[in-house]
Amino acid sequence: MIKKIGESGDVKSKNDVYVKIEPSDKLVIKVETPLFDLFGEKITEEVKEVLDEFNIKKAFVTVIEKNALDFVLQARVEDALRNALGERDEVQT
Amino acid sequence: MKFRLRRSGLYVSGTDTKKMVDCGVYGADSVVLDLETSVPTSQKSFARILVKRALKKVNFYDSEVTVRINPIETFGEEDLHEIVQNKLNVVMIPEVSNNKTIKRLDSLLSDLEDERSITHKISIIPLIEDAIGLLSVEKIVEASERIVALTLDADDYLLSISGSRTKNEGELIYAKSKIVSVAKAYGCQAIDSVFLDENDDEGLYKESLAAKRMGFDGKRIVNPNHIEIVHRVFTPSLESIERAKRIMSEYKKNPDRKYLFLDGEIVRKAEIESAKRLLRGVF
Repeated sequence: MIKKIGESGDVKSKNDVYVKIEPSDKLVIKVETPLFDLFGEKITEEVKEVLDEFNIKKAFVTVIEKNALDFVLQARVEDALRNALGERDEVQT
Repeated sequence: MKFRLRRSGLYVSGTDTKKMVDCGVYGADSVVLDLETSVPTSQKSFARILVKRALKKVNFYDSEVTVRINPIETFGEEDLHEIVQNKLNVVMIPEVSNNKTIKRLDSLLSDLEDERSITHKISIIPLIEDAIGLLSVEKIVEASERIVALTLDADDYLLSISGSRTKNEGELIYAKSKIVSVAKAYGCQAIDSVFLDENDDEGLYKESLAAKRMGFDGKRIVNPNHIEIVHRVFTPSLESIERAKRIMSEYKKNPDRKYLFLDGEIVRKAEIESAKRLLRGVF
C-alpha cells in the first residue's frame, strides 16, 4: 500500500533515472525517455516487475530515464517504492 | 573447503554502475563490489539495493563475486539481508577484531541461506584492520569453516599502531607474515593489501612480487589494467605445477611416507604439503 510520495534519483543525472511513486486508485506508469519508441515498453516491463515483487497493484509511477541500465532502473524503482511504503524517509540521489 | 584462484580482487564501488557492468569482462579472479568505504553514508541504502539488482542482472562471467559489506554493527546486517542470493560467492567483512563478529556473520548467512534456498555455502573473507584483530587472527579463522582467505588493510592497521607506510613496507613485515602464517596453517589463502595507485605499474609489480615471496596468493586492486600484472606475479610457473603433479603422483602411491624420491632427489614433507596446496590453488 503506497502511503506517500516516494522518490529516487535525480532528473539531471546522465545514465541514471528519476523515479517518483505516488498513491493512486489505479496503476499508471508514465515513462519519459529519449528513445521511447525503442525502450518505452521494456522500461514499463522492468518497472512492473519490481512492483509485482512488492505486490503493488495501485500506484502512479513517473519515470524520467536518461540511458540508465536495467538494474539501475529497477534499483531506483525499488528505492522510491521503499520510501513510498514508509520504510524510510530519506531521498537518495 | 572449496578452493579457487584468488590472484586478483578487483574493487568496484557499489555506486559505480558503469564499472559494475564492465568489471566481469576483464578476467579478474574476483570482483569485489564495495558497500563500505567507497559508499557515502547518505547512499548506503540505495547502494545495497543497487548491488542486489546488479547481482541479479549483471554477467560477471568467470569472476568470483564478492561483496564487501559494512561492519556488522553498522549497516552490515542490513547489507546482508539485501545481497544474499545465489550469485553471491563471498562476503568480505571489514574491521574484524574478534571471533564474535565472524560467528555472528556465519549464523546470519546460515539463516539467510536456508530462508532463500541458496544452493551453495557463501564464503567469508575477514579483513583485519587493527592490532587487536591481528593478535586475534587465529581465533578469527577458527570461528567459521566458511573462511577461505585472510586479508589485511595495511593503512588502517598502521594507523592502529601509530605507524606510517613506506614504499618498501618494512613496517608491515610482522603483520603480513602473521596473516600469511595463520592463513596457511589453517588451509586458507592469504590476499595482500589493496594497491591504490592506479598509475604505478612498476610499484604494483614490486609490491606484488614481495607479497608473493612472503607467501601471499593474490592482491586486491582498483584498476582493471593491473589484473595482468598481478596474474603474472601470482600465477605459479608451469614447471612448478608439473613438479607438484609429479610429487603428488608419487605420494599417492604410498601416502604414509613422510618423504619420497623424485629424479633421484629427496622430497620432504614440507614440499609434499606445498605441492598439495599448489594444486588446490593455495600457493
